[in-house]
Amino acid sequence: MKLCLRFHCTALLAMGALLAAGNAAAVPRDPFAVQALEPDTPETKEARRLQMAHDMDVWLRRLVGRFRIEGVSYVDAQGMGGAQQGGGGSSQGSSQGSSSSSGASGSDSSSSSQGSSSGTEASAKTVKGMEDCIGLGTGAGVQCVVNVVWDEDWGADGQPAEAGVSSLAPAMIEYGFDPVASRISYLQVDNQSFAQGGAGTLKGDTLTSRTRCVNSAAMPPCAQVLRIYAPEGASYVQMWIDTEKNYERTSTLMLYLRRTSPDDKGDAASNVKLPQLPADQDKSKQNQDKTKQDPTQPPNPQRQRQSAPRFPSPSFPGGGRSRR
Amino acid sequence: MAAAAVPPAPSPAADATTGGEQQLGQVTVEGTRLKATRSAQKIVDWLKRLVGPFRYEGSVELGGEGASRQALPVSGVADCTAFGRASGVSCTMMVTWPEVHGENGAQVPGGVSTLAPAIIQYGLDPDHIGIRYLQVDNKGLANYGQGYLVGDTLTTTTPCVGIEGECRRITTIDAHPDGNTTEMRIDIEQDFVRTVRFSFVLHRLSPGQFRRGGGTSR
Repeated sequence: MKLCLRFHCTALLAMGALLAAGNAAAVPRDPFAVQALEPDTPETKEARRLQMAHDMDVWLRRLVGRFRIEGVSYVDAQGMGGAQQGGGGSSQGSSQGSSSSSGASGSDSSSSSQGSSSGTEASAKTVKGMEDCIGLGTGAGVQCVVNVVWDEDWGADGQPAEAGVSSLAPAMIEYGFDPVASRISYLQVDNQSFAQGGAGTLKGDTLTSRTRCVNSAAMPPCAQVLRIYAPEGASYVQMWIDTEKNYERTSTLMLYLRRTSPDDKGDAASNVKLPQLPADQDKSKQNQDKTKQDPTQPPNPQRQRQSAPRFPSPSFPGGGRSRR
Repeated sequence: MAAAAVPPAPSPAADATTGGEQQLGQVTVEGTRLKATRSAQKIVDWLKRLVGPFRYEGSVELGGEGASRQALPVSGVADCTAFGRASGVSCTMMVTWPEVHGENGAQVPGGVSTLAPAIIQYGLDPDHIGIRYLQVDNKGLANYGQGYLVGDTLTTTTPCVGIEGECRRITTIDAHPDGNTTEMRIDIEQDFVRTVRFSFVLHRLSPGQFRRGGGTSR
């Protein structure tokens, strides 16, 4: 029955296409007419470049403000399998602000797994957080401090599961643009001080960038695809951060950033559970350990839980920085 | 390691002075090839030297090689904060120098400070055991750099931003081991000719000095 229905639909579409072709045939058209009418002169190139520079300037300013973040951290079923094959626990802090490697363990509370986190089925977790972005002077430069958390997921071997631990708790992101190359550059420094940056292109209201995952030298080919959708006049910004390993998507971080008032502290309302320091820990010893830690090594889960997110706000004498 | 270029022994005639210029019979060039550090810990230690409040001094040299050069005195302050477990660094700076314009008010590369204010963010590049940074100026222009640490010096060569044609920006940052002084030099080369040189010396300030404005005359 379904097959029959599909056949009828296909036939109808084909007939429609023939009719349309017949009507079009009445008005002869040169398939190369568009190219012939609009040659790409240096003037049009320059005009397009200037327009793009203007668009990037306008778009970047939409990122400024304080945002409350909600979203989902989604791990693909095949991604988990891929991570098991290739990760081997050697990677951490990769891409999308989520540490990744093999292994998984159960999670509690806000995680809404679509299957068990045994490493074979997809899972999704609720993500919450805040972002604070300021404009730089009168230009379009933007600096953001972001704090995104979700329930941590550690493997039995002490390594974070695929997208199991947020490295965006906190992280700093800086945006600027190159008007000649028509690109928007950004650099994200995560809570392990790993820098991941690149340049993206703006199409409409969406910035798209593809970069290599950070700390992925020992991993199979790994890429992070960042998309930011910031429409004009909207009270929200959307972000998608995909991680691809072996050219297949393994995890996605979908963030919905809702603009909020500058006074919104966020913590209580968004129910963000900040990692707590164990009460009996000697803080000075922790600091010593932190300085001795080799940043290229996988993190110690216990240490990872100890890093309390914060919103550093570098102040400047004379009020050099301005909020827009 | 040393490299030497020794041309064939010249004939006595070649040693003679010709046209007011003396021809050298033998030229020896020696150099040492420095290796980039492969220790992430050394990079972290280097990054920590950048943290804190600093006062800017130095000069901006306008004009290409051969053209009349003009050195403009620089003043300003910066505040750099550590970030993350391994000391990522985020700096906010306010650096100025006397404005210079071309004929009819035309813009001159480096003639007007775009670092008032500007932000620069440094982080670890664990894949290459190097450093990545992004500087965004007050126009929103982003200078992305990625380089290696050799000794106490980070050197990056990147394409210029906002300047058309063959242009590159060579940045060297030398953070002294005592952490009190950092020298920063940025050369803008257009068609392989240096057109601007920014020479900054950063002196560490005490928090009290920084709150008072860094002792600058602004």
